[in-house]
Parts: sequence; C-alpha cells; structure tokens
Amino acid sequence: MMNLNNKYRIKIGDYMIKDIKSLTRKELRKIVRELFKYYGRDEVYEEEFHEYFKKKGLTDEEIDTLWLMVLGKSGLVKLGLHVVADELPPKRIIRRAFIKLVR
Amino acid sequence: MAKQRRRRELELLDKILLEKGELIDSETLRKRLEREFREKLRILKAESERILYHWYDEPLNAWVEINVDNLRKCLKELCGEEYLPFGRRKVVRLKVKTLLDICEGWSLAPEQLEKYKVFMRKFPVNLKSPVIVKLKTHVLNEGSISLRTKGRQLKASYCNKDPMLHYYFRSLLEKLGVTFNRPPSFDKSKGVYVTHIDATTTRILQRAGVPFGPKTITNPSLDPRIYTDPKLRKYHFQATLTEEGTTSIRVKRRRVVMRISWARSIDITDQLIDEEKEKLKEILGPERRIAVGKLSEYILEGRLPRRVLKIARITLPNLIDQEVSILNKLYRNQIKYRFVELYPERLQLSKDGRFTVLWRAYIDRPEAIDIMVRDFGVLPGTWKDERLRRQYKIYLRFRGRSLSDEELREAKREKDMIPRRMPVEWRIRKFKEIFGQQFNDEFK
Repeated sequence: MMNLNNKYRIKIGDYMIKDIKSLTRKELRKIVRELFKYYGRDEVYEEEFHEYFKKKGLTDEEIDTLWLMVLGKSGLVKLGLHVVADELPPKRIIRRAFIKLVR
Repeated sequence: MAKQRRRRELELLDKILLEKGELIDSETLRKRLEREFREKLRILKAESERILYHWYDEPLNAWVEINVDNLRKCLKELCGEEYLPFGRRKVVRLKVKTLLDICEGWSLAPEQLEKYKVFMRKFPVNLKSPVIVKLKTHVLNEGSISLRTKGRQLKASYCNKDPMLHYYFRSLLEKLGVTFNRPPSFDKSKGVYVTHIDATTTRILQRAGVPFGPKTITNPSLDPRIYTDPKLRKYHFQATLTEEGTTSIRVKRRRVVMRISWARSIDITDQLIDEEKEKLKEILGPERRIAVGKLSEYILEGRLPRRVLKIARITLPNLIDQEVSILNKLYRNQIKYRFVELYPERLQLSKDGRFTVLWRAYIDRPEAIDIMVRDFGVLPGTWKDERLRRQYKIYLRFRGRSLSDEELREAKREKDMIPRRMPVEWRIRKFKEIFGQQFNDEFK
C-alpha cells in the first residue's frame, strides 16, 4: 500500500493522495470505510487508527490531522469512550477512545 | 492475608501473656484467640458499615422537635427528675444548644436521649444506610442543594414531573422520620412538581456526601455501596434511568432498533483560558451548542486550539464514568460487544457563561437491552416504566428481522401510539391516586 514516491504517498482505491488536507469528503469516506473493513467491526480504537495509518506511511502529524478530519469532515463516525472497571469496587477504571461507524 | 492474620495472632498472644503473666496451654490459647478475633471482626465490620449522624451534630442554633413524655421518662429514670417546664404540651421545639445544656446540667450522655426516642424524627441516622444511599441517588439526579443568599442556610429540593417519583422520594424521607403535611407543589415556570427537603435532612445528605451547588461543577461520585450491594445498585440504575434516562424505538433500514440512554454534564469552563473561551463563544453563536465532533473542523481551520477538543473528550462526569464502568464490568463476559457506550455528545454554553460537555451513555445491542430491561428496568409505576414496557413489547415483536411493508406500517403505527411526553391527563390521574388530593386547576 505504501508508495515511497514523494509526490503521492497514500493509495486509496484507484487514486493516490499527495496531501492529507487536500482529501475530498468522498476520498475521506473511502479511507474510513477501508479502515473499518480492515478491522472487520464498526468500532476502531484510537491506537488502532494510528497503527493502521502508520503502516500506510503517514507521519504522526498527518495521522493527527486525519483523525480530526475523520471526526468532523467525514460525517461517518462518532467519537466515543470505552470505560470499564478492573474489578468491583474498582481499583482502576480503564478508558479507551474509539470511533464508531454510524452510517 | 494469612501473614497478617498470623501477625495479629502473635501480637494478641504477646498481649495476653503480658497481661496475665502466666503460661496457658495451646488449646485454650487457640479458643481464646478465635473468640477474641471473632468479636473484634464483628465490631470492625459493624463500624465500617456505620457512620452515625447524631442530634448533637446539628448546628447549635438548629431546632429539634422533642417528645415531652419520652424526655420526662428519660430524665426520671436516669436522673430522678420529674419536673419539666413544658406544661401539658406533648411536643416542644428546642434549640440544640438548650438541649445540650440540659444534658450537661444533668450529666447525661447526649446519646441517652436517642435511646429514649426523645426526638420526633429518627436519630441517630446511619449515613451508610440503604435509605441514605437511595436518597443520594435521587438528589444527585433530580435534586439540588444550594446556599440561601440570606442567612447562608442550606436549601434543598427535589423536582420532577412524575408524581410517582415524588412518592418514592417522600417514602425514603419518611423512613428518616420526616413528615409531610402537603403534597408536592407545582412550579408553573418549570412545569414540574417540587418536594422541599427540610434543613436537617439537607445537612444529613450533605454529611453523607452530596455536595451543594451545581453538580456539573462539584462533580460528585457514586456512593461506594453501589459497587458492592446488588440491591442498591439495582435501585440506583432504576432511579437513574427513570430520572435521567430516555428510551426510544425507531425503524432503521427496515429493522426495529431500540435504545436506552442517559446523560450527564460536566463543566469545563475552569480548564479553558480566556482566549479559548472567546473563540468558543464565537463558534457556538446564538445556538450556544455544538456537536463535539464538529469542533475538529474549526481546529483544522485554525479557528480553535486543539486543546479544547482534548479537554472536551477527556473530562467526563464521575457519575456516568462510574456507572458505565460498573455495567461494562458486570456484563463483560455475557455479551460479545461492550454493554454500554459512552459519547461526548455536545459542548454547550449556559446562560451564565459556563461551558459544559454533555456525555451520553447508550445501550442498543439487543442482548444488552434484554439484560437492562430484565435486571434493572425503571422504577415501577412511573411514566417511564409504562413507556418502556410498551416500547419493549413492540421491540420483542418485530426485532431481529427485515420487516415487510405491512409490518413496517404496523410497527410505525404502534410506535407512534406511545406519546413522546408524559400526557397531562396521566400526570393528573397519578397525582390524585398517590396523594389522594382533590385536584384543582392550579396544578395544571
């Protein structure tokens, strides 16, 4: 998937993307759907999101930008928090952010 | 545990040998140790389950109602005194300070008055009792404790539209010895009934851990007993779903979907700097609210610092955090996916210029809905109970399959027959049933 060509670095479907911020809504939606398809469920944890796009060759800064774009521009996901106690009464509450596909 | 126990045994052994100055055989020692430990553990357990609020914990200038006969009996038996300057009155009101002076004058331990049931209301009150835990749940959901501007006294009330909830709330207060002379009043401006809580109960609740002031700022936590006591946990979730919850049923892609949710807010104003507040105000505009996800668009445009979104998504109310963590822990192994999902729904600006984030917990997986209805549900007899039962009936009938056109129409028709809001007629009928009062127009 990774293209080392400086000009085009991300491959989505049939076309290559140069800059994250230049992604259109349609392209963004395609990326989101591919991400959820890869994990095979309708929820993806924040760290899984980072891991997936890191493998695609994006930098941390680009992933952060993409995360924000996915949250707002894509209109496909909802930001949530998974909260669970380790035991009752809890000694520690584990919290993990995730995005959920809503459409 | 074994090491600790052995250490305690040895300590106790040393103590016994030192006290007695004699040697005893091992069997006698074992029996004595067992007896002593059992007794000590019983006391420790009882102590850990009780924190008492006595009459003398009240402020010195607070009034207490006294049963004169019982006070006379107490003074006669303990001090040999029969005269009391109250004439033929059965009940008198005295200041705590006066009563403490009486106790001091007669060398009476203040607790003795409680044993003789001298007070018209129940003293002492165990702050860890189930009644207090349940009351705390109600007050944290729909109640409020604030400081009166005049006199700096605490003032508390419980507001809700549903008369049945007032019945539950008042029943708990009655268990503390509170009496009511009138039914809940109706606040026309808010469209809710109001039960006012007396000053002593307010102080008891505050001592039990209910903070005064806005709950979005004070951010209270769950009572620890809710974690460990299944009955209290059930009551807490029932009350929370009735007071703060919503149930809905809808048709999505020819399938019936049901959702149970409840929401709580948290104030983030103090975490924001002035510049961020100004930018947020500008973005929120006259609507004064925005979906949390939408903030990211303004961040990308450079109109809002990233920190705002970070604060909004990591600051969550303790109550909903703990509630969701309990449910997810309890049913972790019973359903495939997580039981409850928690979302920061929107960021809003209140009229007094405070920024709050509304967090909503959702339950929509079919297995989770079944468990929630079966194990918790809502408080019986309330409007939400009636609504939930009707919705769940429709859900059970149509769920799990793609509906035909006819089924679709039927499901929609049945769904639409359930009123979205509590009908006025239902409210009036319920009020009459519960409080037995001739209903008149002023309550409408």
